[in-house]
Amino acid sequence: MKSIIDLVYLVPLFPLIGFLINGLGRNYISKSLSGIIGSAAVLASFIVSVLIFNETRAEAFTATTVNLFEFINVAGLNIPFAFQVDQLSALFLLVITGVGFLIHLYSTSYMHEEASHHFARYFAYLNLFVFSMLLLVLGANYLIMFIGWEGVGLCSYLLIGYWFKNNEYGNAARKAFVMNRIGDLGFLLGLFFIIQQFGSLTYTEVFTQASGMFKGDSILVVITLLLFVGATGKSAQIPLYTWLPDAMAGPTPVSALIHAATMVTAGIYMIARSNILYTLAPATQVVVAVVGLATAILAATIAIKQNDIKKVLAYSTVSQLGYMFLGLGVGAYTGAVFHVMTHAFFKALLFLGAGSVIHAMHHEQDIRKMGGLSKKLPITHITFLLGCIAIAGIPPFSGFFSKDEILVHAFAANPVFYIIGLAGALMTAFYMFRLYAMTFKGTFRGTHEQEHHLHESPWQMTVPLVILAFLAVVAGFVGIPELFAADAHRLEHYLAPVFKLSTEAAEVHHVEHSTEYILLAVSLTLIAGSIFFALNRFSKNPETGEPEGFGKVLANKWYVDELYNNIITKPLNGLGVFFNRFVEKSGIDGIVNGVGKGVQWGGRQLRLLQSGQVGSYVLWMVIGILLLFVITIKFL
Amino acid sequence: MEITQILFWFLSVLAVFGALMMVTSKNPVYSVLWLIVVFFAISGHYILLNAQFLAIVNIIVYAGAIMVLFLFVIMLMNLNAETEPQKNKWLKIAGVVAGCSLMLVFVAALRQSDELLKAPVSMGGETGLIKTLGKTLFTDYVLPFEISSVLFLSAMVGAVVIGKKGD
Amino acid sequence: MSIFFLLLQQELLLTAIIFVLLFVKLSTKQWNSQTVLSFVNILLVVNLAAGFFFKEKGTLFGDMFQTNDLLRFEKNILNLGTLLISLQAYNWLLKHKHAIEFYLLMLSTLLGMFFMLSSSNLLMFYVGLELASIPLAALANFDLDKKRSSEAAMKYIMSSAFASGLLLFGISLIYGMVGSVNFTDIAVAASENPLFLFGFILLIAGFGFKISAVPFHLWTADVYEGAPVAVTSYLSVISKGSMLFVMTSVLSTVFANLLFQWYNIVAVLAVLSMIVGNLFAIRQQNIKRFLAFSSISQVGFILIGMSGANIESHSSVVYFVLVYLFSNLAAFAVINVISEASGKENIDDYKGLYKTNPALTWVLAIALFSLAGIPPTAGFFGKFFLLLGGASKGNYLLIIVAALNMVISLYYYLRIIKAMFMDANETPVEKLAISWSPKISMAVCMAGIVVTGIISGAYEYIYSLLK
Repeated sequence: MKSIIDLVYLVPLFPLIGFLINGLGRNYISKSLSGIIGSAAVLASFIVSVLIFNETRAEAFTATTVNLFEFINVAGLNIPFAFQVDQLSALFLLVITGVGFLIHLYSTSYMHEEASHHFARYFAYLNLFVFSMLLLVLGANYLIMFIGWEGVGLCSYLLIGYWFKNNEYGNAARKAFVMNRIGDLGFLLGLFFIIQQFGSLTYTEVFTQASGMFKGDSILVVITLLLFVGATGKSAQIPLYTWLPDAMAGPTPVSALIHAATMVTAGIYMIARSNILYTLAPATQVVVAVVGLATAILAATIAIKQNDIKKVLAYSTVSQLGYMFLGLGVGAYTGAVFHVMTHAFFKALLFLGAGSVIHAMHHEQDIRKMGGLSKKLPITHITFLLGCIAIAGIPPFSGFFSKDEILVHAFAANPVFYIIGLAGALMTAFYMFRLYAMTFKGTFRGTHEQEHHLHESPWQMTVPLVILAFLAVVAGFVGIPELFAADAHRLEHYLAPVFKLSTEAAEVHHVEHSTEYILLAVSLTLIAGSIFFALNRFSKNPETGEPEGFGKVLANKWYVDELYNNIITKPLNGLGVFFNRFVEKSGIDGIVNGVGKGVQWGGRQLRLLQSGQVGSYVLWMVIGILLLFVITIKFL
Repeated sequence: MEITQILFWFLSVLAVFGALMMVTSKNPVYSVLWLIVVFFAISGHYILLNAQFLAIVNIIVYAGAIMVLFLFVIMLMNLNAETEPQKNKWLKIAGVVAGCSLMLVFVAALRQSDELLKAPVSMGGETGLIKTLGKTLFTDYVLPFEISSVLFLSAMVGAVVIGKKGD
Repeated sequence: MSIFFLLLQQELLLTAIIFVLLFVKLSTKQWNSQTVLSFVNILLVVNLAAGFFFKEKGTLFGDMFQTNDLLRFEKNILNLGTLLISLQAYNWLLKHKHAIEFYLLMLSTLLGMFFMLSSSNLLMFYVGLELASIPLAALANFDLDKKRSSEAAMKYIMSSAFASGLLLFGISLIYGMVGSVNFTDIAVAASENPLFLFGFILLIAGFGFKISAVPFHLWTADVYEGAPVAVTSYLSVISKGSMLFVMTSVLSTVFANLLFQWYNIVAVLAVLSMIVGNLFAIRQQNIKRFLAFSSISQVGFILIGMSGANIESHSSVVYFVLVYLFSNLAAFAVINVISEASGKENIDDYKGLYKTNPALTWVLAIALFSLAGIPPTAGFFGKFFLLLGGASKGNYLLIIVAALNMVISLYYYLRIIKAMFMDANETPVEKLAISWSPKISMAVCMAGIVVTGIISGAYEYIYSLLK
């Protein structure tokens, strides 16, 4: 039977075609046409994704692998180019293409000031990104995932550096790429270990074999830790998180798509996909949970003192990603995926709202120069507020359900996790409403000219806001906890086949309903308190000065960037300078330069043999031979 | 001690001494002359090994033609002890140390090899004659021989191109 | 008799071309240089195409010459690279007085490499190697009026002579121990005897010089910088590639008994080459010098693949050389065009290139991405297979060092990409009109980078040849 599942290759194919058209024809097609092509490509993918999603909801549906062509088949290692359609990938498809389409639509208006070939280039990159991301989630083995994984990194690099005018943007782009690459190393090494251990990279084979292994097997711990290193790079966790806030140098819709809704969740997807490996490696799970929690707290504290509207959202993203890892670490795979979904909605909403504000303010991003925007930008204001409520975790908004699910599982695993997680949630509510109050409440603090030009954004920008706001409000209802209604957690039910092996292997922690009620009451009271405090504090007396004392440490992001710069970048550059200056310049060139110039050319020819340059070549060769001999004798 | 052994030691000492003098003498003309001594000593070794043809060719080509060319170059360019560029002292020392270590390693490897105790392969008096050599060269080793001709051709082409620089 | 021609087809065809060119040069008629160059390029295309039509394998001249499917394929790779370089050099040679001599020298080195590849004893190997090295010095001097070029030639010939001396000493020691220069005899007699090992190490030093592995690499940067761009690309791709082919097969067949010893040697050379190549590349200003150090670190990666010592790793080396050929030649094609038109060779001169020459920028960027090993370019798959080959020995430390170096290398490749795309420049390279021949060459390289990556059939094909 020919079903829509067999046409799954269409999903990544459309954006690829869009990329090719926009990329190759960027000098020939008009702005509006390239916008339409870019958006239509993603819309087409979205429609196919919806149809696929519908198939996967059927009771009788089982995970299907669609083989496209032979990819690598040598020496017992068989890696086909195949796509795996199951509940997890279908859900991600829906989020990527859905949110992706809205952001494409938004971009057609947001980027309208660009020159036409730049505009087409922008859409080409954006389509290429969607293509890579789809490859990442659709791949039926780790290699295809890795190709998509690197592909999204590459597109992110291109898009952050999109505005070429500014040198700082270029550096931010490079930092993002190199940091990602450090993580990728872990992934790559993990792949080698998987090949060594299982002789395959195909999910189904690896997971079936793994489920027969002992819990806590050391090779599994090594593999999962290496994969986790990859995840920390892409999903901006400690210690590789500093690139994400810098990546805000890119255009705002890009931040919304790549650095909030999709790419950064790739790490979550990877771990959720390999859930059985993690369940069988409890040691790694603890590491994942602790790193996630630490990131959540650290990023939240930094966000409190940031004044750039996008930086606050960036740190908030890092912090929310930390929650997702906490969820993965305590075995709440459904909760983590749930949070990915709701976070994609509300964070994309917040970023696009911020973009709308920045658009209205003529590229001003400092919230100290905003205020009182609620009257001038009514739609943006309302949707942004809904987003803030959702991320703060007020029921019945979506963020509440997903975050609560993670926190309850954290409590079951270890109450300390819960307490720290709750502290982070309080800070989240605090800094989000600080941001909201500083931007929309109080009086306007910008220039007169800016005030004069304030306007609501066109429909291409507000429609996505409204749709996302709607989703941010209602998306939580797919995962109502058992506490409120029995069997109402439809997402858990839907995803159950994906996490089946893990559920069988894991010990079940159970939390009493009464305890859950108490937890809920405590957290809601605290969060509400923190929101009111923030609203009161910042609506009337916004902090416009420079922070002092501990606030300064926070504003400077705990000086982590400086630390990295001093312990990694500088020594590396220094070593390069050292080699260049001392070994090359004074050692070798110096000798040459010291030799008298202006002698006859012929004499120079002979002299070169003696000038020390060739002599030093020979010297090093001899030393090399000695070295090789020593090695050989030593290992004899 | 047989006469061949005495000759062997004499030639060896002469070759090593000549090489040392060639490297250390300040005047390039002396260096070339010492190098000629080395070539003669080595030709003597060839004769001891029954490679008469090789010995003669070595003297004609190396000691004769090539060395005369060297002398011409040195004299035409008027190179002498004064125009010799100053060498880096440290490089010299490092070179001597590294060279000596390599020598040491080589000698140590030689001493450990029991191969030396095996009887040397003795060649008949016919081995090095032109006739035998020619036969081998044009039967077993014809391919390398022909490739060498291509090598000479291309070396010639290269030399001509570089030489025509001024035109 | 016919089998003789079939087996020697690639070598004979090349020799025939050399002699045709010789007669063209010597003829009294003054040929138009455009006609001559087109004629040569057509001959090279024929030379490349002909290599694919024959499948015979066997030995000739006793044990002097052998050929098989893998060797044919490797020679085809070298033929392809030579053709691409010839196309890139078209504009440069058009103005050069000695274009025919350029081809005479280049094709004789290629012939030398072919014999070196097909050698089955050390004598043939050495003769082929010399034929592949000595004319290269004259080629390095081909920018006749530039001092740097002469200097490069001088340095190359001197250090090459020293390396040959070492190699010859090693060969003579091995001959002294085994009593034969035949590969099969040596393979049987290979032992852990210190004297034999000493000869073996000298042999490896000779290899190391030609592939410019650290610490035998010092000539590389100076020669690459001084030599004309076409010659630099020939040195860095063809000359190096042929030696890598020979080294891989010699180590894994002739010295299989000494696997344990050479594994450690190759591992140390690999680590040194990667680290030193990368650290030096970070601060280079001249783009040819930069590529010299980048190629040194690439060799480090190849050595890791080589250390695997099985069929998979052997094919990964051949595959990577193919990928490396496309990537490096694409980069050199761009450098050649820019250097030819404006004489600019510094990385700072490449700032703002995107504004004036977007197509060239993209070609160079994709080439650098491939060299850095970013999927989906072929460079990623090349490195993937190399590391996979190296990992089969279970030495994960080596793999981790390699992976770390991949990150460092990305850092400096991005430096150039950033300069081209993002940095402002008041005097950028003006908009260049690119003629057809470099265009073809770039198109082939780009297609190669994409196709050999996504369709990994190339790797499987090489693997099947080895089996």
